[in-house]
Amino acid sequence: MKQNSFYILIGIVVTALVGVFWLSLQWNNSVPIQIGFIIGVITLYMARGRITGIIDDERSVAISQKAALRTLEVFWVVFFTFSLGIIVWTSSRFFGLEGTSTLRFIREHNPPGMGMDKPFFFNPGFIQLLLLCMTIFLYVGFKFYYERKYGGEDADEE
Amino acid sequence: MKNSIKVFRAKANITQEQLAVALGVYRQTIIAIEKSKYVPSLTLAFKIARHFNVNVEEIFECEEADLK
Repeated sequence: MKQNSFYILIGIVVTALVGVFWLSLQWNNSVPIQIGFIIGVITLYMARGRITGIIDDERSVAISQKAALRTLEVFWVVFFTFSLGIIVWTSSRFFGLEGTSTLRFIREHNPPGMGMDKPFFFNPGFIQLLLLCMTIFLYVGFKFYYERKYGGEDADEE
Repeated sequence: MKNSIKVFRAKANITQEQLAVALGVYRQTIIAIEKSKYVPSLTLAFKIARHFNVNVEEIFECEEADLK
């Protein structure tokens, strides 16, 4: 498989997943998009292994590994912090510490204008997606950093 | 880690691109190694040495700072 064919396949899979996501919303059932996403990722993973003409450059691999490790470190801290917040928000009553949660007031009183009933405000799913998007930017940023550190400039022939 | 790839390349009259293709890496990797910004793996170091028909020590020179 050529690299361009792989990019076309990515487009097809993403388009199909958008359709499945829409169907999941219509059916009010999360299973189709969750299974569909996993099947899509496995498909792309298997297709990637069949791409021909890729140079297995050890410096690029080393840079990717370093960037991925740094991204994981930052993401872990941010995601753990976010998860702690969600646990306190949703489980304070269960632990008998309801009075300590400052978000309990917002949750129960739902002041007008705060948009608590809208899907974006304080919706853990959207915030998690935002955090995942952040990892992409972080990864690209770290890749640039290590590319520069390990002399990736495309200098003229000497 | 110092290296004299550029010298051997000049002697063999080959470009960075040609060396990169011969070794199966990107040209940027050759540039980074020549500028001592990236230390290659043992495998790649041996490949480079074999390409020029010399020992690894003739191309790569380990400095005291590298051993600390």
